[in-house]
Amino acid sequence: MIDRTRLQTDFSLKPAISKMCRLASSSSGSSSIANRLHAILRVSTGVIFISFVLFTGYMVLSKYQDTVQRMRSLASILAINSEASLIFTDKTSAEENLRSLSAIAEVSGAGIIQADGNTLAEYAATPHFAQKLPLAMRNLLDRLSIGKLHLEQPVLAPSRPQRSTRESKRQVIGLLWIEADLTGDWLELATVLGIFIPVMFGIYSLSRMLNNRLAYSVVKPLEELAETALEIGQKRNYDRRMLPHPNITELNAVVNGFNQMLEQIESRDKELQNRRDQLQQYNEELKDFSYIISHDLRAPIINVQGFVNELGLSLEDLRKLLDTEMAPMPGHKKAALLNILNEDIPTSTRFITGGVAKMNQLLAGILKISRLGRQELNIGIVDTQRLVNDNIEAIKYQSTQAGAKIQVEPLPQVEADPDLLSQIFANLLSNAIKYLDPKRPGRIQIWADDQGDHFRFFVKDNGLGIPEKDQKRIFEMFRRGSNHKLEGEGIGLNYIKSAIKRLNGAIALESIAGQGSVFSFTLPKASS
Amino acid sequence: MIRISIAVWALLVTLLAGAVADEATEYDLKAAYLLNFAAYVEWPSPPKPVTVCVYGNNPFKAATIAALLNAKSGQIDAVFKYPRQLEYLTVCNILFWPQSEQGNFGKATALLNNAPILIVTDVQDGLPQGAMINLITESKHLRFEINIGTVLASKLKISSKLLKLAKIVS
Repeated sequence: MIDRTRLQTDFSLKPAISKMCRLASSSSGSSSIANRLHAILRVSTGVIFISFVLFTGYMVLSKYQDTVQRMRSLASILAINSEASLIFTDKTSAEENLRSLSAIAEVSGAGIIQADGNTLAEYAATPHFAQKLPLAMRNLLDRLSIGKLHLEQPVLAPSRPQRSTRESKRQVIGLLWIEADLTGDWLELATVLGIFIPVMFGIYSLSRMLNNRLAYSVVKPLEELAETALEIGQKRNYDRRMLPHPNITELNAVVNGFNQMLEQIESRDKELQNRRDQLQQYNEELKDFSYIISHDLRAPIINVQGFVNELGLSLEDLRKLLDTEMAPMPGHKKAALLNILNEDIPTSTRFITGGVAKMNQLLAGILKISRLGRQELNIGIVDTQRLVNDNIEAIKYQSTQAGAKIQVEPLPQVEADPDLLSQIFANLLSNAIKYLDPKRPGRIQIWADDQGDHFRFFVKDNGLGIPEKDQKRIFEMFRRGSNHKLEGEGIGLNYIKSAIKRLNGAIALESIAGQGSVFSFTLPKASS
Repeated sequence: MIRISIAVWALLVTLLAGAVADEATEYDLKAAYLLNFAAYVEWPSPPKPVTVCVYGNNPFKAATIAALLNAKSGQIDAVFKYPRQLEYLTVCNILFWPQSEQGNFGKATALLNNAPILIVTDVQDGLPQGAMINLITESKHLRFEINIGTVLASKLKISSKLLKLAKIVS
């Protein structure tokens, strides 16, 4: 209750929620929906990008292989066609052969070299692609030596149609070379990349934006929901309702469910409140009833007590009167009369007096307990050390008589009603002294344990102890242990239990018959 | 392997070229052409070896022929013969008719009468007289003409590669 008030006054709600979320995320490794959506977006963009890179790589490689293959085929066809030109050293036809390469765009140059190393024919295409490329790219291609493809194909001597000469035996009569300009391919790749990368970036930015909007539209209502739930949890304001989110079906379902749950809680809360009020009323009536009974019954009992006393006085008067009047009576009648006057009537009045006194005590007990319920508490910081020492001082006579040694350890401060707490300690101490075992020196110990949000106080004795069968009933009203030799009406422990309950604590007992008992009770800690 | 072959071939050609360069290169080239033609001609019954005949006065140097045969031994199995009588010409597969024997050329072609013999000559107007290939010099380059009609009549087959280099006359 104290914590909650402090939370409400010290912190605004929003940081509390974010703190809660942070705590939740740090403890379970969870992350926000927005982060998750972004992670998914990043991964899928990455996958698309990698796929594109792989695909482009594959395309470039296969295009390169295709070019190489085409150039090889071209070279081998040209080599066959150039064979006769080489044999007859026919420059014209060789050049004509090479000129046919002008139909192939990639070919930038070609030549036929004779066996003696002299060039028979050469061909140079007019440069086209290379001129379009920026200088930096041309330099890069040159440095990587991927801008050109140079192929050489040996020209073999003719095989005579009549003879099936094997290829390997044919002589090399010259060499044909072809140079292909690949800058066109690279330019194409650069164009594709130049288009793809900005498009990819644009798509990523767009999806990121959409993602943010989605995250906002989902996360925002969820935050509202969490905020409302927290607020309701703190303020117990069950009549609050969340506004529906008609745009998002799932969220709307959550909100509807939440509102329905709130309705149910509200109705149950009201029901509970009604029941509690009813119970409180019954309780009040019961208290009034016991107060009335104990209070009102005492008056007739006091009457009975008074008239019994009166009866004793009357008996005295009667005895005096009869002393003078009895002399002439015969002896046996006189003896019978005296027996009635001195024995029977006093015995009866003694029983009546005893019974009335007992009844008076019981009624006083009931009255005490019913007063406890009605009594206004005066809660404050209590120095238990001092309180217990005062109590020990007050029962010094009894403890010295019993030969008991009382040992007190340092005790803390608590929040309680000092009078009530003093009664509790006084009762427990006097019980401990009363039920000491006369066969051994009495020892009583008092200490307290810090148990988190409360203290537990212990009163331990090495007295007679309480048999297990009595332990459960010992706190009930008018119940006493098996040891009836000692005085008491069985109110004390019941009273202590009620008093501790009023101070928001609880009492417990541990005992072994013949060895001693430990009574302990909890009290909330002082708030400062 | 290819590089070594090129080197060997280059050496041979250089030697040959050196030899040719020293003296009259024209007939050395013509001899090489004669031998090269063998690779592009198909006879009805494949000869083994190809008999290359040079009629009459032999304009070729023996050393050139020997060097050529040696150089082409891997590709062309050929022998050179030098007949002096027309009757012997039927054993030839390729017949070269030098310019010096111009007078008898028409007689010879008539005699051979479409036999499957590749008749090569450097006589002027050789083709109309029945030659299949005529060697000509055009601006210091040795070239050749082919008479398709004569070739077809003789049942010889000439490779398109050769035809591509030639001046075609029909």
